[in-house]
Parts: sequence; structure tokens; C-alpha cells
Amino acid sequence: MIRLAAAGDLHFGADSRGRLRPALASLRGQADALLLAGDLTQTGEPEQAAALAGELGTCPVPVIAVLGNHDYHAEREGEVRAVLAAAGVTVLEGGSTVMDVDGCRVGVVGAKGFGGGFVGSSGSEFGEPEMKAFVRSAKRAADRVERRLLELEDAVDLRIVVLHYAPVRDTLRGEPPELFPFLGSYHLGEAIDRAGADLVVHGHAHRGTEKGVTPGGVEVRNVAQPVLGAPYQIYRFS
Amino acid sequence: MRGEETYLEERIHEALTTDGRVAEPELDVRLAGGRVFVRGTVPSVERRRAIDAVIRERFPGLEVVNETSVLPPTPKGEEEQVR
Repeated sequence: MIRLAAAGDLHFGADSRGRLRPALASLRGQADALLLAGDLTQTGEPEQAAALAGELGTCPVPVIAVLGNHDYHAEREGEVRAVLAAAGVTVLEGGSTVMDVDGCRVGVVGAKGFGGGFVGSSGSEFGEPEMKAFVRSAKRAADRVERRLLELEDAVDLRIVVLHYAPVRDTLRGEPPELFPFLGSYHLGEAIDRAGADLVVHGHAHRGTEKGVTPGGVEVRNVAQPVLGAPYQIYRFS
Repeated sequence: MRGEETYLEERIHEALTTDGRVAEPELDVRLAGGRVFVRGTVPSVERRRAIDAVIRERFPGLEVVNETSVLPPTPKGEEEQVR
């Protein structure tokens, strides 16, 4: 049995210090890894990442994370990544990692992803350079996720995707529809459906819904802390 | 100015997004009867207090109804069997 804890949108700042530690301690014996779906910091300052790293460094299970838009705000995302990595956190951006859990190989693919919208109301690579760049960014992220998943296809028993932006509309229910193009992209969902996966977790949509599924049948969970109403949720695989 | 309340609502939202003391773009901001209602979940008591401080500083005279909640620090203790 594999148990994966997941959370997103911690928005950790100096005022958060000490708040996560008790929840992390209770992961011992309850989960095999903790997946963090971006927006780890309040505004992407390395000092905020250091405060979080101080708590994650005490986590009794491996921590695998992606960054979110908040972590890019101060334009110091490289430093944020380095601070977290120094605390033992595996930070993925279009990459993958494999864990061995009691003889079961678990592959985790991680990327921030991006917005752009969903089928029927999505942006296209058309018009101004800014618009093309916006849509290309989501496509590029989706392409990397797909390639990493395909690389893992025959190498692992379980393939998990960690994103910040949503790959489907389902988990955005509760958000104003006008915001959907800023909350996720169907390109992510399509890439995951082409390559296959066992679970996708994402954050970013605080007013969304926890459970969803891609058109191809891959389970999706919005693990933004405000959606969970808790520091994390545990997902079990037999 | 015509439509001022609509623009004011978004200016408050923008302030709560860009002011580093809050930096929470996901908060819901509504103006009604000269009062500003703020809803959503924040990670700490300090962040919740900062919402009041930012609005009072930048929009003096507006009454703030802070209906945000602070994320509970304890896990629910439930697991979901995915498969």
C-alpha cells in the first residue's frame, strides 16, 4: 500500500512559522511522501522559503514539490528552489523523480504548468506576441509533463503528477468562470491523458473543488489548503 | 465618478494582492452599503489582521467586515482510497 500526502498553496511567510510543524510530525507512519503543489511561499522571497524549509527539514517523509505563481512573484525563484533543495526537498520543474516504497516504484512528475483556459474557451497562439507567449508557456509545460510520464511508463508501478495550475475544469467548480483561463490549461489534461497517470494533484484554485477527473479518466485532486480545509490530504493506493 | 463602487472593489482586491503584508489574490472582496466584505481562507491570524490594516490604511473611512477564516493547523485524519 502506498500513501501520499498532498497539499498546495501554503503561502508560507514569517507569520506562518511553527504552524506546519505539528502537522508534518503526524505524517510519521501515516504517509510515504508529501507532495507540495506550489505557492509554497507568500511572495517568493528566499526568507519565506527559509522559514518553510525550517519546517520541511523536520518532515519525517520525503518531500517533493513544484513552485507556484506566488513563488515567482519576487523574481527570486532560483533562490527559493535552492533554499528548499538545501533542506532536502526535491523541487521539480518539468522533471521527475522515482521513490521506492516497500518494493513499489513510484514515479512523480512535477511542473508548475500555466493558464490558458479549457476546451471551448481557451487562448490560442494567435495575435500579439504576449498572447502567443502566454499560450506557448502552457503548451511547453504540458509537453514536458507528457515526455516525463512516457519515460516512466515501463519503469515504475505508479505515476503521479504534481502541478500548480489545474489540468481540468472539474476541480475549478466554485471559482468564477471568468478566472478559468488564469487557473489552468486543457493542454496539461490532454498531455496527461495521452501519456497516462494514476493521479494528478494541483493547487492554485482556492475556491475550487477537491475531486475531478480528466476526459481520459485520470483522477485529479485540487489540494489547495483552502479547498482541503486542512494542512494536507492523504491518498492511498493498494 | 459613475460606477465608482465597481472600480473601488477591484482596487481593494488589487491592494490585498500586491501589498506584501497580505499578498492573497484569492480573497473575495465585495462592497455593500458602504462596507467592504472580505472572504476566503488565510494561513495565519497575522495575515487575517493584515487585511484590516491594509484596507484601513489605503481606503480610510471604509468599514471592513473581515469574514476570512484561518486554515486549521491539524489534519483531518481521513484518507482517500484512489485505487
